[in-house]
Amino acid sequence: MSIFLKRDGFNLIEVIITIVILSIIAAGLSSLFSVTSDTPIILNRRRAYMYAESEMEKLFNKSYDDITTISKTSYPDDGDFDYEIIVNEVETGLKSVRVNFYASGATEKIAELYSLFVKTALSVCDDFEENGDRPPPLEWNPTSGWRVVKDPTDATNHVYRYVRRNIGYTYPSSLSGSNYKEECVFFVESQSRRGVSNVYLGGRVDPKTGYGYYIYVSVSIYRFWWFNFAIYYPYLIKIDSRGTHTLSYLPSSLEFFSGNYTPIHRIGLKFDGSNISCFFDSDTGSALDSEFTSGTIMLAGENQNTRIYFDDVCVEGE
Amino acid sequence: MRMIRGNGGSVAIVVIVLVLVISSLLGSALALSFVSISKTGEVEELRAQALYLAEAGIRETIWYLKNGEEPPEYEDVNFSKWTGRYYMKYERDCPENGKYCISSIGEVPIERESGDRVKRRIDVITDSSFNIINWEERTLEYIP
Repeated sequence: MSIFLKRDGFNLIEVIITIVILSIIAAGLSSLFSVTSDTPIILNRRRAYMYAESEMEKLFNKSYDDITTISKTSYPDDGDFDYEIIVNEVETGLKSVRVNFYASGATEKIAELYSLFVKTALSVCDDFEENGDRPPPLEWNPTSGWRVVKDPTDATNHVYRYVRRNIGYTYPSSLSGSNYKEECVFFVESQSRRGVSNVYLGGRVDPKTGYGYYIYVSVSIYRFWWFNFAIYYPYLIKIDSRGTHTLSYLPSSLEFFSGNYTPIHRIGLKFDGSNISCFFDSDTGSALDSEFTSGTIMLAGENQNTRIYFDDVCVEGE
Repeated sequence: MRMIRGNGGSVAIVVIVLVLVISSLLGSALALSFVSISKTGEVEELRAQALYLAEAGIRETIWYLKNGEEPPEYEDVNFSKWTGRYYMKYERDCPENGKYCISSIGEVPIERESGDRVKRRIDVITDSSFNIINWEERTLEYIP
């Protein structure tokens, strides 16, 4: 200290140098303090955005109707945060979604994301009429043996016929979804004493492999002089790389009829997440399975001395 | 203390001041580097916001097309401290008949004063029923 104490005063240069040095020290210390105090805020914000993105991605996997508001509450995966999901249907079939995150107990948002969700409604029917009253008709991709023909029981109607013995299938272009219901009607023609048809209506099907869910009805037909009857065995099945699996059995039924054609029957499938249900007329079956989450619909058939006629294929959902 | 009180005291003062200066400079450098990292982190967060805005643009365009209406050129979205925007564009019979090419750009300001923006772009192709058959997210861009 003697260097300072023995002096009478300081010259201008010494004063300036001292001020500069002290400023540098002050700036450095304040920066260090700022780093220390800002670090948790920045790290929290980053975590909050990570959680917000995660919540937004979860919504993308939900069906449109399941996207609903969650009021501000503690974030279940991390108690350091509160969060809210604000959903508004801005137009019919269009929802805006805001995902907001807050530090626990705070009111200022530290992460906020916005996006829109649209109801991807499938609503299409094909009655196989060239100028049908329920457009748009589906554009089908059939294997050989499929043809749109006049309904042999009603000349004013058209139906989709499959005649081959081996399994053949057809599926519409540009139609795919995850949660939807589908249905169609069918009847079977037999002019022999005994015939068998296997009728398939598939959903969530990968058209390249045929893997997916089906309602499958085995129809055995017996014909005598004037006495004809058909026995129906409906099943809900899954076809995957390991083979065919029965998910649900529906009641079998016996039906008497006259002529060469069975009465018309209605079959359908419904997909809602992992809930899969089916019906054959008034009988229903269901199963839980999540192997296939989306795909197209498919008609398929097999015949022994029979022909299958499909009509009024309708799909509705998202 | 003997050095400070003695003739060597001036040396000690100089050493102390030098140590303080060096540590302050290091602190400043660390702080600057931290600010830079924090800035990058902020851009990452805005990048997420811009991406979801671009997704909103894609979905809104699909909604308009499904309803037989023309989508607007852009929409603004208010966040608590700034306003984001997404632009919408589409082309019929692209890349082939019956399909649609839809493009949306979401953008968010980095700093309100500077006007710099984080911008994300998404391009999709849909079939005639507006099922998305191709989805592509473009890389991060800045618009000065």
